[in-house]
Amino acid sequence: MHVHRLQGPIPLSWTQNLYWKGELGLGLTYLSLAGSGLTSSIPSPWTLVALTYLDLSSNALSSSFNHILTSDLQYLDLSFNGLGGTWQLIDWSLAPKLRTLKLNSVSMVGTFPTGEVNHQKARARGILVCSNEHAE
Amino acid sequence: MVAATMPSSVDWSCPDPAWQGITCNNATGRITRIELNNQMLCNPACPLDPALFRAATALSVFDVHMANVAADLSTFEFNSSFNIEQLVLSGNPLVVGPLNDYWPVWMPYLTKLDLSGTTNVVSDALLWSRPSTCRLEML
Repeated sequence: MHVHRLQGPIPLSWTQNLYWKGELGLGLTYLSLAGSGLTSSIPSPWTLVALTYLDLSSNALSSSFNHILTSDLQYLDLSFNGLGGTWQLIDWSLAPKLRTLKLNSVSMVGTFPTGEVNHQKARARGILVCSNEHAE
Repeated sequence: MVAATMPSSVDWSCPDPAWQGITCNNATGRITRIELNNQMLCNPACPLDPALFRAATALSVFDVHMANVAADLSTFEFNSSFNIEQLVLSGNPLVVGPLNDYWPVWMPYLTKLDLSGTTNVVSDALLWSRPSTCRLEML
């Protein structure tokens, strides 16, 4: 079997479908595309607001990720991507139910906003905090 | 372990006697769940026929995580009344793409989609990486 690698962006239509957005049903709640060869940026606007589990680790995604923080999200893994941006621009209050956050080896700059994380801990049972050794 | 392709002309009727990992709706006599995860179904990997799901209107769960299957998802055919809720093809490096724009239309009731580890490009993605430190904070 000839192997075509699964490379390319997340199809924009995936985030526009009324069913998967939860407007016509339960919606997509679990999405894992780890190590799937995804490239480009994460689609914006991100409308998969029913997601509770999102794993996009080990791809080649770029851009920031503030726009994918949603109110029901409990698990988020964006490790090993080309995600960039500044820690201070991430609004963690957008994801009040977040329990697990994995950001190994991303290219964020600045210092991790521990004050906001402490705020988050008030609701979270545990949170994995990863900071970049090369952060400026 | 079987050394054949996944059947392409599945009529999706309940097998008799019952098979482990296959769940049926006894009222309709149709297969509703296929859960063959973590099983070495075939050696070498068995290809999933692109027409496998064409008549799978009652199927709600298809989970072949790490089952050593192969598939070119871009060639798959889906019925307009495909009612699948959970599709798990992860851990099968011979499941390949590309991702299709029409999946949400074909699978409107999908709540769980796991395609992780369907290709071998992790090493490329690691080129982005830098060392980092982590700590687990608990309440």
